[in-house]
Amino acid sequence: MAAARKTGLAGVALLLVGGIAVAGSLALQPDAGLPDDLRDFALAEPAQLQTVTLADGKGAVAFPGDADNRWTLLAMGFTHCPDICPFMLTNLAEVESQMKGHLSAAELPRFVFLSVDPSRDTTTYLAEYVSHFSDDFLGITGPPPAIDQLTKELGAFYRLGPKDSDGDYTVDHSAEIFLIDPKGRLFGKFQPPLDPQETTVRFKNARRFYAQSNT
Amino acid sequence: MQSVKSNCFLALVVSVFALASATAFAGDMPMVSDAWVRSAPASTKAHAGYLTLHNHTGTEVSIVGAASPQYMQVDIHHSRIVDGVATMTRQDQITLAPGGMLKMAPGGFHLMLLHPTVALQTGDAVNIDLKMANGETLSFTATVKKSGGMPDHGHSSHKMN
Repeated sequence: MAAARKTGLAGVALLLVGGIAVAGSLALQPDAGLPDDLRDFALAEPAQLQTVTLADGKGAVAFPGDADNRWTLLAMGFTHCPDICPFMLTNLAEVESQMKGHLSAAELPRFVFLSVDPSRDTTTYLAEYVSHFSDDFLGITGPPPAIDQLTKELGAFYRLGPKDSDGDYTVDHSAEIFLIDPKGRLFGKFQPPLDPQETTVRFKNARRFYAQSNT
Repeated sequence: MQSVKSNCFLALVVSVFALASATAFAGDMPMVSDAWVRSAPASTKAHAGYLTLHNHTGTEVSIVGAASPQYMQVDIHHSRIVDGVATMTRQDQITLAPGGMLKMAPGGFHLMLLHPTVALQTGDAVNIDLKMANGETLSFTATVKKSGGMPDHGHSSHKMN
């Protein structure tokens, strides 16, 4: 009797596990087109970004524009941000360093810092600022309408705060890292802090999926 | 997203880990340890200072302001990332319960060091005064240093929230 009851319980347990597995696979149905290794960060469908005219320390930059077949990792912020922005850029420099060990120069993404505070962040100053973190980082900013267009399409957010008596103000801004594919489409988003090894693996997975779907 | 207005008077009562062993040498001033300033590009106008405050005293301690001869202005700020958006709010006061500890670290509480009056380089010492509610001043030096992007080497369990 005792043995039969045990078997019965085991059967119920198996049914339950089976049921959870079926329910789990049904829940994943909406993203059926996306491989498992992209689900954590990629959009179900990449979203095309309109190219806007911004500028770096050397002149006008059409962004995302013609990226020379390269991917882009973009962070946004402002240079008067003493805590989170340097934290993100230092983190991105670690990701870049890791990627350099695993990808060729042509395969490496562009690392871009978009300042949403153009009235304080001149392009010359921005270039100097990003070079503190990595020689290859690109710092871009531009007129507010162009920034607004780009941030809207990225699904990003920023808001300039009120000025204090000294004219200082802070800026609330998205702290995600945006992954843009070579066609200028928003491909995915990473949440900081980024683990350099994990991000490199995810980026390689994204490249492989892109190559397979764009042949 | 709810953002806290910087002008509202926020009394943050930080009553965290009681330092049972440390209460033995209770003085009237809290202690500062691990004080550092994040190195930044030469012309940056806002730097961040970090430290750990231990309130060994038997009474509540409130920090109501900060100053440094190397900066025009020093504020106490709190950064947070909520729903993917980074916000930074000024704190008018930070209160530590008796035996309490506050770790000011990247992605959270920090000293907002504004408008440096001298060029600071890695290894330099920054003199900082914390003004207490009881009128006393707590002075210490913080070392300028570079920091990694992931001080915790944190994976998903160490989000900067």
